[in-house]
Amino acid sequence: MADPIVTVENVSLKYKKTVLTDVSMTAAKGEVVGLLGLNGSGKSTLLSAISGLRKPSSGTIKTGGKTGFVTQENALIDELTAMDNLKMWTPLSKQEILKELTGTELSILKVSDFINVKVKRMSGGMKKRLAIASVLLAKPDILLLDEPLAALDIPAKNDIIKFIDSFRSEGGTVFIASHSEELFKHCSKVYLLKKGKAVLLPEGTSPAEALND
Amino acid sequence: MIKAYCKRVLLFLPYIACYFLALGIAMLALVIYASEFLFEDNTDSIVSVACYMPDDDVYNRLGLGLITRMESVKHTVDINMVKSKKQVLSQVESGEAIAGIIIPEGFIEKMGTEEAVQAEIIYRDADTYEEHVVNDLIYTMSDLLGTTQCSILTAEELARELGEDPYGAYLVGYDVQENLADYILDRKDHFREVSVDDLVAKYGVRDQLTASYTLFIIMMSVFVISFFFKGNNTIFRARAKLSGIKTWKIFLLEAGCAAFMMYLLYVLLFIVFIAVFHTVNPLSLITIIPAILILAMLGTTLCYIVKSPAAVSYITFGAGTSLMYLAGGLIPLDYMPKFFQAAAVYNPVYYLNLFFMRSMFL
Repeated sequence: MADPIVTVENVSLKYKKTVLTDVSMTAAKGEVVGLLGLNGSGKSTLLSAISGLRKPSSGTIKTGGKTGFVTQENALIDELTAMDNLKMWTPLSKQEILKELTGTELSILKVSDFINVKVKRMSGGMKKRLAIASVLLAKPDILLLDEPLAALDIPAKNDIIKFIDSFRSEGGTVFIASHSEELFKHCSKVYLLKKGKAVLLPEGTSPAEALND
Repeated sequence: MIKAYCKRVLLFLPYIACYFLALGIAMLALVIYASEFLFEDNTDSIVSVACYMPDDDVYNRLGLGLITRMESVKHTVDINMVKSKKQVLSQVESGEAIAGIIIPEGFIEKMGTEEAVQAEIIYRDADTYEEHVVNDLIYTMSDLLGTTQCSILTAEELARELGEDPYGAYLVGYDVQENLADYILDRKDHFREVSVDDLVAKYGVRDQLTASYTLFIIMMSVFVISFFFKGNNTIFRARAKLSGIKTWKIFLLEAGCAAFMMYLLYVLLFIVFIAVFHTVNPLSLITIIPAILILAMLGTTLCYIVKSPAAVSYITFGAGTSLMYLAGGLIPLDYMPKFFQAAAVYNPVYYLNLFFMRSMFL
């Protein structure tokens, strides 16, 4: 097995109440790790901890590359266009951004199609594509996606899944917190988070069955 | 990021303009009419006028006796003799007297000479039509007082001279008539209108209301500007943190943008006040900046703590309106219960209000 790019060792995290207890997991380059769990099970908290936004109460998290975190809510400014939002987070020029959006795997997200549209006029799918593109412009090695398919239509879902596959094939590592069975089919491994603990699900386990157990 | 925020400010300007139109014009109408509501009660009954005469002589006593017996004065003005100038000012300032008359020492003796001194008519700022009428009456009354005093002086001089030398009496009579003619022709010069606000209070009711409503409009603008901080939620801050941007930098950037928008609002209000009242201090365009910066910082802090624009609007309206009311910003403290007046000094908005007043009307 390749050296892990993300190592989570015995991580516990308390936020008002205990959210994570003694969680351990690893992810290598090119792996897609699924995080499954009910609402409030700690999936988003774990992603925050991996991104570096939250410090674990105990345990260690080691990352061997730059992380990009696409949160469940989009960190976009409604009054500005897609291009203005992208420019906020990158030193790249307009031309360079357009080149990135059309000449790399980011083209799958089709953000250049609505580059001059204001965020407030965008659909949920367009916003999610833009949020991912905005994070990807910083060229992360590890991509953390929190509920990336929530409330999206089928074409948007398909494009995002296609993008995840492409990102993985380029050697990127992806962590996905989701409820979507469809998405877990694309994961190398899936962890079930229950009562603050993470359990690696055996291959072939249905997420629905795992949640009901 | 700075460019993006500048762009957002430009995009927000139409909202600020709409807010100004909606609230600013309504407040301006209130400022114009509020003082009339406040003064209305004083004008239907006999008004009290404080009068100070240092020379308790026959001229003054007869003059005063004559005018107080005049029908028009008797049913309108209650002349209250006081013992000092200070008492006149105090009674006018407190509202106990609607106006005051201060007759200086040697008023009669020095009249028509190079040492002539002016009597002062102290009045409160007349804001209603009825008050203007009363002020005119007081002015006329004072004028009559001077005329009467001169007439008595003439009669006395004539009587004395007639008893001794008819020719001398003619000469004295001629001189006194000349003096009397001078007095009548130039009688306006013998009196001086002085606003009590110029002597004991720095600001009139209208100034107070204009300043406090301006502050109120700018405070409430946090409600409009709060939408500007929509992106500034936990997620936005997290994103900034991951991109290596410090939270305090975003705070300062947003506070700066908010201050600019609030300042723009003040400039709009300033233009209207200059057009309507002609009295707002142009220097306030500079001196108001620190207060606006404080308000912008507070507004931004509120938006950082509360996060949801709806909650910001509840707090701004709820707490802002209450604090403004308790600071005497909506109704002047003079017209509020004593308890509220005492409590106002503990209210930070009271000092902000004073700052606005001093800045706008110094």
